[in-house]
Amino acid sequence: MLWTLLIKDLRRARHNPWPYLLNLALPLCITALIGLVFGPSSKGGGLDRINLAVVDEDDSVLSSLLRGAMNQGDFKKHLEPRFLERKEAFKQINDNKISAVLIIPKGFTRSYLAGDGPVAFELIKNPAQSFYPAILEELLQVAVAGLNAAARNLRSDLPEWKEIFEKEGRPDMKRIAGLMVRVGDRFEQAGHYLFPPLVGYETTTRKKAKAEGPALNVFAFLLPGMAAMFLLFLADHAIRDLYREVGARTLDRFRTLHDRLLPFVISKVVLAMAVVVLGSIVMFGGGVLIFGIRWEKPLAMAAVILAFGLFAAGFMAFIAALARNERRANAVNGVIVMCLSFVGGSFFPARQLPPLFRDHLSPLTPNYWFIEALRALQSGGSDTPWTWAALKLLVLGLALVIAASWLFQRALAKGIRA
Amino acid sequence: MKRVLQIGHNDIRLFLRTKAGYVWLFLVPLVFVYFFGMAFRGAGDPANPRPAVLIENRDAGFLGTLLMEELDAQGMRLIDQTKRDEAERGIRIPADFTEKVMKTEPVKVEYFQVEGSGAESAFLIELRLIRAVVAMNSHLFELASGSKEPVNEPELRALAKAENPVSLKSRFAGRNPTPSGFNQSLPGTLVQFLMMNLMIFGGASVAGERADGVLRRLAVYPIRRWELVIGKVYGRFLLGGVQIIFFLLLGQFIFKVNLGQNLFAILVTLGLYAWVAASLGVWIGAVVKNEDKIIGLCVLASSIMAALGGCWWPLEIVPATLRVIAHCVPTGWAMDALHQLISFGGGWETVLSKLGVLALFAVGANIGAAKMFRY
Repeated sequence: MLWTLLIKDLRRARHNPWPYLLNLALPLCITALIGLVFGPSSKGGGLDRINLAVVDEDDSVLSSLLRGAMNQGDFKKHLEPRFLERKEAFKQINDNKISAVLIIPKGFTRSYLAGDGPVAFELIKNPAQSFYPAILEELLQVAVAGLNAAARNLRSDLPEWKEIFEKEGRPDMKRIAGLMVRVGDRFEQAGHYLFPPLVGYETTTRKKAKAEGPALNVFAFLLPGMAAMFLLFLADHAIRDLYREVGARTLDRFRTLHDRLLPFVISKVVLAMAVVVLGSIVMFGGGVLIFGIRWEKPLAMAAVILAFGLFAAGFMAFIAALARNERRANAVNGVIVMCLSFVGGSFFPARQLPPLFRDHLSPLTPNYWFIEALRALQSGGSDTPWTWAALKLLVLGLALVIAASWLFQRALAKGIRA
Repeated sequence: MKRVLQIGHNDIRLFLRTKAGYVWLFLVPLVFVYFFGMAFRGAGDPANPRPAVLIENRDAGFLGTLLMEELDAQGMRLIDQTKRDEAERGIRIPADFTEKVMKTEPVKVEYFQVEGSGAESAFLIELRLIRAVVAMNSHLFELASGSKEPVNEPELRALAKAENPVSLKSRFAGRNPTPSGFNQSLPGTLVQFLMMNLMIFGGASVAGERADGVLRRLAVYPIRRWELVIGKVYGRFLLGGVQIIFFLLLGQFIFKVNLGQNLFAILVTLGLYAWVAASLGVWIGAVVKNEDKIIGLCVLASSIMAALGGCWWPLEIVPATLRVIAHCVPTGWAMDALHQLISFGGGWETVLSKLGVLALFAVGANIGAAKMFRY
């Protein structure tokens, strides 16, 4: 009879599949969206050009050279400089249009060449952006290191350069040539330190230790979390079918034929389990087809999913039995599933939660056991042995099924309203 | 106009009588606000990212140590040597580093990165290495050109410690950083659940009234179609108003979100947005007959719009293409305006254009609902 009842219930579900379809589509959609934002594709192939505003208050030969350098070579490859007034630059940073503002202060060149005290560039970074302002800071630190190297090694010549730059009219070519000779002599003297530089670096790019495998797939990390939540919603909808049968008076018809209620209650639990298992196949199978996930250890995974199916059916049946009508069950179950999902780590890893949840409450939730077991199976980690998680889910599920059956049977015998 | 108000007031009265609805109106969004706010509470003051890097000094001489000091001084997050196989990028100082430099033979430090491990992090680390290499060469050149002595540790250390004539003073702009914690989760959740609840309630109740014959009964009264549509939208708008007031009060007094500074502008933004959501709800109710189908479509559509529009995470952190897509949905415009008013300290002038776009969405949805409404 259990089989007959299950087939009847599945037919009823096929008649109005929308609630089931929603709970199957949502986890896949949400996983896709989170994966799009935080997954590897969001990082792109390389860096975009970084927008930088330059406020040149110095307006000198050196600052012009710096400005020119930004439009050449490697700088040009990475930077999109725009030369603005201070007010406009700050407006653009407020509008999140640029990553930073570089201010070359008035008198910078003069002080640098005269060596009459330290000088500083000013960089105002956009706090709404993450990497680009930091990259700009490092890029400018490289430029600063270069200017320092020049200042420290050509210190004695700099005042003379200053006089040349500040001289009105035609530049003194003889003086420039003399300076160049002196610089050349110094370079010559320490040539073995410079040509090539003694300390250099070489870049190597390695292939990933593992080929693009399942453990590295962000979607494989996200999907168990989403699945845990929506499998509970699926079980909830399936189990509430009991109330719908009360409302539609089909239970009354059943009772005219059979004196025992237990098979009817058990059939609903079995329906919820069947729906969860079918839902898992769609979700995790969909993960393979849509996101290209290759699930590691599918047999162990199936065992954990089956155990979670029993828990989901038992848990939702238990809550629904306590609620005693469909409307209340709908409301209460929604909140409980949401809370369990947040605490168990469906939306984000439980380690992001405050210590009370992270260390004490999350590890007690069945969602957490399920999610962590699947993630551990996928990544090859052994922090949470899947057998232990499956066993806990199985025992808890069984206890809840027995409790829910007893509660439902008692409530139905007394006569409940939908 | 009187009939519009009557229809709206009656609808809100009926909804508020259903206590189970309060769960999705107040309780579930509250759970979202709390958990999302706690999980993404942010690091407080803005700070530069510190990508992890493995630094391996195989050189036993003093120059390797000096280069390490140059790198250390630049605030890297070093990976434990025991986890070297997991490192995605790293700097390796060769064993003969000091020996070669002492012999004035060129030597190369190795910088490695794992393919696809994040171009930004890799570039940041590479720049830090360049900076250290430039400084090291500068010190060596300075020592060689100014001293007759061979390269030696005390003189090189003295040079490394000497004050540099040029520096870079950096700081973060006064603009508030990317919204995090409750500053993100409160407006995000409110925008998501306003859309979800008003669409579901708008759509399902219109479909339910059509199925029960209520709409046909209304058709025999002297009520014009546009009055009925606006009345239905108005009823859902009032429901949104209840939710808005509840969450703004919670935000101000429990979650300590700074709402008071621009309260009126925030109310106008949320009011306009609620009108968009209510209109979309009535529109869906006008087009789709099956209540379960309506609920499914509305939950799916509102969740996708929430994710795309920046309700779950700030749009500042998403790729540029997704930021463009965000502005194809009303949630994106609403979140933009709310962040300006709540987090960035902007005033009316910063949100007028966004309110204009929301108004266009509302008018479009109203016209759609009125055109397709069936008794």
